[in-house]
Amino acid sequence: MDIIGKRNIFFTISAIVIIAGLISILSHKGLKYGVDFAGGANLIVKFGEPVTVEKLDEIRTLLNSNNIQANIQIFGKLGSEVNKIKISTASDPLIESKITGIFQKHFDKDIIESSAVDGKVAAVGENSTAGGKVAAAGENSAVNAETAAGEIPAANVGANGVDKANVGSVNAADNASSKIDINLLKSSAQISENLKAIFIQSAVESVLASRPFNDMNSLNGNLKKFNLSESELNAIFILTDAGISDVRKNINSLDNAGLINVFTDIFSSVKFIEYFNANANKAVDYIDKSGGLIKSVEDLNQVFEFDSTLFDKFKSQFSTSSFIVESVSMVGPSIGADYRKKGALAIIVSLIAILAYIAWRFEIEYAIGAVIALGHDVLITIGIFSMLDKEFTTQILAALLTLVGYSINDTIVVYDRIRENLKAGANSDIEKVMNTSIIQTLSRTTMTSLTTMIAVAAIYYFGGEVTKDFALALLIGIIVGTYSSIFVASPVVLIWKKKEAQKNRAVKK
Amino acid sequence: MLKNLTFRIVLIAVILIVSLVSLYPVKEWKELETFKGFPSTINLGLDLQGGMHLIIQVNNKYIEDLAAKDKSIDVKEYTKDAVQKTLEIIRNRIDQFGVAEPSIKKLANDRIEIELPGLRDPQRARKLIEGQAVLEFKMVHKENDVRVKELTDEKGDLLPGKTVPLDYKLLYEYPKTPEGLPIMLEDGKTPKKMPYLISDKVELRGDDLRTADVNINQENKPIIAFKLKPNAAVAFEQLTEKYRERNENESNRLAIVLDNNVLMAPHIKSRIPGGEGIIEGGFNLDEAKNIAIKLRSGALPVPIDILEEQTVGPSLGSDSIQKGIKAAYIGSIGVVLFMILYYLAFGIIADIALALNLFMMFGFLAFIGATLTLPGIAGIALTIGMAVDANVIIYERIKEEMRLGKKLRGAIETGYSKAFITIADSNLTTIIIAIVLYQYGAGPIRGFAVTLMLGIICSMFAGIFITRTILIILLNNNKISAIPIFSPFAVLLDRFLPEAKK
Repeated sequence: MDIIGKRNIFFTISAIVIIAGLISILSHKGLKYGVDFAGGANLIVKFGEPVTVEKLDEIRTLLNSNNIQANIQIFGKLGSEVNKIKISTASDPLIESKITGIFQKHFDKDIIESSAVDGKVAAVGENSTAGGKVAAAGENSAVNAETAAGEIPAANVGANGVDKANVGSVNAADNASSKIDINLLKSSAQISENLKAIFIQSAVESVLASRPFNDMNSLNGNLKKFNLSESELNAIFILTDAGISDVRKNINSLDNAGLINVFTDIFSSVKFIEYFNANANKAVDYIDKSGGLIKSVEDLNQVFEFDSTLFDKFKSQFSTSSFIVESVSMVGPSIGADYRKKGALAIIVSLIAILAYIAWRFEIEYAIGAVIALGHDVLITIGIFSMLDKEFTTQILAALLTLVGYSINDTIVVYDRIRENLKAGANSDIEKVMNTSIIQTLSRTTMTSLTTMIAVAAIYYFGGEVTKDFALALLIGIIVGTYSSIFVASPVVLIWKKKEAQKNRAVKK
Repeated sequence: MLKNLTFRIVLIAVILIVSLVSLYPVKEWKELETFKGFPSTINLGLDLQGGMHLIIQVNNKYIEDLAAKDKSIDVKEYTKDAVQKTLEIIRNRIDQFGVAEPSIKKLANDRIEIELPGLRDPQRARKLIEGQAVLEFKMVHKENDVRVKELTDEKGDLLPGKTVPLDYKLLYEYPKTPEGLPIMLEDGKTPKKMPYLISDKVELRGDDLRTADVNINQENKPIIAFKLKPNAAVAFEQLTEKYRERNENESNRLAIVLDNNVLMAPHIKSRIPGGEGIIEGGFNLDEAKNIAIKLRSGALPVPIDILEEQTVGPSLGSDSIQKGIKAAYIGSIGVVLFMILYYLAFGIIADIALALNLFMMFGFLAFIGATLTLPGIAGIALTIGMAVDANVIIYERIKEEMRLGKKLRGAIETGYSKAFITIADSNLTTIIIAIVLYQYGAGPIRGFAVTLMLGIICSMFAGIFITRTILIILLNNNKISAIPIFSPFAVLLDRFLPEAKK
């Protein structure tokens, strides 16, 4: 078989593919850059229910009516399982909050943003009125200074004061229509805080509902579900007014605020904090295992260890959103332009480095042949990507560079053989030597391409959405790279050599 | 020869043991369970464990504007200084926010990279990082109400043709609902704002604060309680004495302004000693905590812009790991089977090398503390394909030598020595590429470059050194005279390839 002799056929094939790719790029007015190169924002939003074409249209209209110009794609193949969409918009640091807000209003009417509810989860504790000098916001507010100079303020505004202040949900349940979204409230610290609040609230309610207690046994029975032992209760409460030296509190006479205070202290103990944290961690693990999105608060019943009446309370205050924002990537326009420059530079630098290396290890003609073959690979891969209407991202750039490394690998194996064969038979015709060398290395070249393609195909089919395009670029690149190593690189060297020889002859004459 | 063999075995053993211990430190060997899970010694990138990656930059235009006003400012020096200060302040804010192992690095071009692995509340973190947090106490114009009515329309915007009095600015307060949500105007899009005419003179500033903490007032609303530094407290007392409203007609209001937004503007009813006070801004708890952290950390010298943000939720990350590992498994099995099919016993040797290669790669990753990213996993899967390349080159050479009539031993000798230069040359170029990738790539791409580089080094060691050692051991055993290399499958495939002989 004569590969070198038929080089013009191969050059023509390459030229056609390159030109087709360039035409595609031109007709698309350049490469279709992803957000990392063009600047912009991408959000991946996951829904609890499969996303249908109708829902997609609904989302489009929804965003349009809120003045958000977005390109919405289904993330993955449209079928029964699809529940993710990708929203691409202009670069905007607030985009996540905006879209979350819009979706929440539309899809989850009974939930308000989790962070907004936090403000309600608060109780008045001993230490929580701050400052001593009260200033109220608004029109008619006043800065009062009733305390005399030098007086030590009643408030302890240390870090502990904060902890104490933000527990004890007093009025979150008042407004049943606004619940906390457990899917958004994924940090275990936040869940733990809320569990504590629920415990305090339930304990206060439980005591208020069954007072007065005639003996410690009935109190114990009343508070059993809170994991409080008899001895613990005995150390804190008594049933009648205590003497001055007694630190215990009369459970029958404490007012609402007093009860909240006592139970805040009880449930802030190390034992309970550990208990809440353990439960919260389990909940977070469960939510994570469910793909970050649980469909009903009820699901957490199997996770939490505590009494069902307490879980009912939990359920009344929490809800589940029908969606979560899985990932956000936002790149400002200026940094996008920077990345484009860097990317182009990376390709150029690597080509120059390879040129230098091969020129050093072989001869300059070989280096030129290799770099032309590599440019060929990159151009064709970019062209095919443009034809497939795929986005050009930093990942694709990495794939391109990898394929440059891969293709040069193949090319060098052939070059090496040519060098070896030339040494062995010094006088033989270079064209023949090249042809023999290419054929001798052919089975190795195809073998390596096959094994690499097996691995890359596995990434393409099983590696998930995020690396799919990366794998596709590599698959295309491996085919093109193998082709160029066999049919392009060495013939180019030959043409160059022949030209050199002609020049030399001309000089000699 | 034997001495050489001992050396080979010892070297391989040492490398494998180092890999093992790096992957699974001895102190973790309490139960066999340890070896089943994903090794904890491998650092996972943000894209795999979830978290937030931000690149911020100091606002250069702001500095240029400053320099235009004040000729003594050297833009370059000022910027450098600002970046350093910003770095420290942001680090302070994040430390107080409480994220495990945050990384805050200076990049080129006055940029700062912030990585918050495992972060679960990106919206709050973003709010914490952005915002200059310049707190200022300024006086409101004495005739604020009348003037503001003259100057602004019902939306609070300055009426055309009107000008704000000299040394005063129109600043706004954005009132909020009891839930802490902004109150919207009728169109539902723009929040309501209340204009104030506020003096340019700064009476007190954020630097004057000694502490700032979140507290809850009697209405269960989060507030920020602050204490002033001693000399500022004196100044505050003098200020309140000076502007104290002495009769009903007098209106003296002190505006507390954060990043040019009015938080509140209470009347000064009396002299306030002690230097303490609270700020009520209709915050929700998270907001109040954020502001308190920012006030404690101090104001940024220059406003910052968020240039880039990548947030990955923890569920997406773990999903990616599972899929990535699955892809790597399937790819490996495919390659392993293919090698056995094509090279028979030699294929098995190459597969053993492949397995050890992967083990060493992970060991090295743990050893150098590199970060495994999603493209990194793709890099590993790719190396699996490319790793057997060295063996393919050698085996094809051995086959060729045997076709030329050499005996197995001789063919192996020549095959290895001839193939070595080829392998070295071709792998070195890939290393060059990996270095370029590392140099010019950002974030996950770097992870890819690292695994690619490690993959090449490990695969060269495994593909050449380990397979050779196995062959030496096999051939030292006199009972083994032939190791099958020509598989019927290969012969079949070779039919489709042009004849390579001659």
